[in-house]
Amino acid sequence: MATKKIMYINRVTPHSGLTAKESLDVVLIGAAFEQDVALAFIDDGVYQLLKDQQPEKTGSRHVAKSFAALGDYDVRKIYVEQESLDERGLSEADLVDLRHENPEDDYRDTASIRLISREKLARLFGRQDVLFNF
Amino acid sequence: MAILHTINQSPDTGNQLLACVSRALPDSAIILYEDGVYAALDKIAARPNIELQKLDCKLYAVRDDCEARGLQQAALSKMVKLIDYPEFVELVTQYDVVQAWS
Repeated sequence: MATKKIMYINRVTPHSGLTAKESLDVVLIGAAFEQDVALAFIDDGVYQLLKDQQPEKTGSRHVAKSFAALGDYDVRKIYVEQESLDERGLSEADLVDLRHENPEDDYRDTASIRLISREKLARLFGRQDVLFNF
Repeated sequence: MAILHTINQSPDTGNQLLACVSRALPDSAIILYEDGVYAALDKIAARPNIELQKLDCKLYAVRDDCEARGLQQAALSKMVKLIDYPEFVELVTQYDVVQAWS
């Protein structure tokens, strides 16, 4: 099967319905088929990656914790739009620390989150084969 | 007639908050709950089109909803008082009418 470059664009808050969870399910399915998978978090989607979420306080699901599994599924490219963080007064230090073992660097433990400007990310959209929106 | 406004949507998801702040009168109050609590983030509360600090009304956010979403108290606007759901109910009884923006 030919490998496609697939990017999943996440734009919703983590606890308003099941969209965030469904996105993660689809990402893991795509990764299991050994596709070239990347995630992008923009606009309200950046809230999904906030660390120290305690969804049990309101009986919702723990999305941020599930993201930790992405590295095990060889999902290594997680783009977070800088402007979306700035507009919300957030920084990389507020986000979960997602890691993976980098096969191009002797399987060294490597950070998965990459901050990227709105303009560069918009160009990156154009270099994918498929864009999925959640 | 004192009005209690409630907001449960992120200001970037919909326009509940914009609709509310342009109509919030001085003796009214606003409760941010569920995804509405994102507006309590200092950076968002101070946006030019929101400017919660310019409203002459009481502002509340539900603590459990903030903590569920990982919002640190230090990042929240000092204008916003954190409450729990029993206090939410108490406030509902204190105002003449509730405007639950949707």
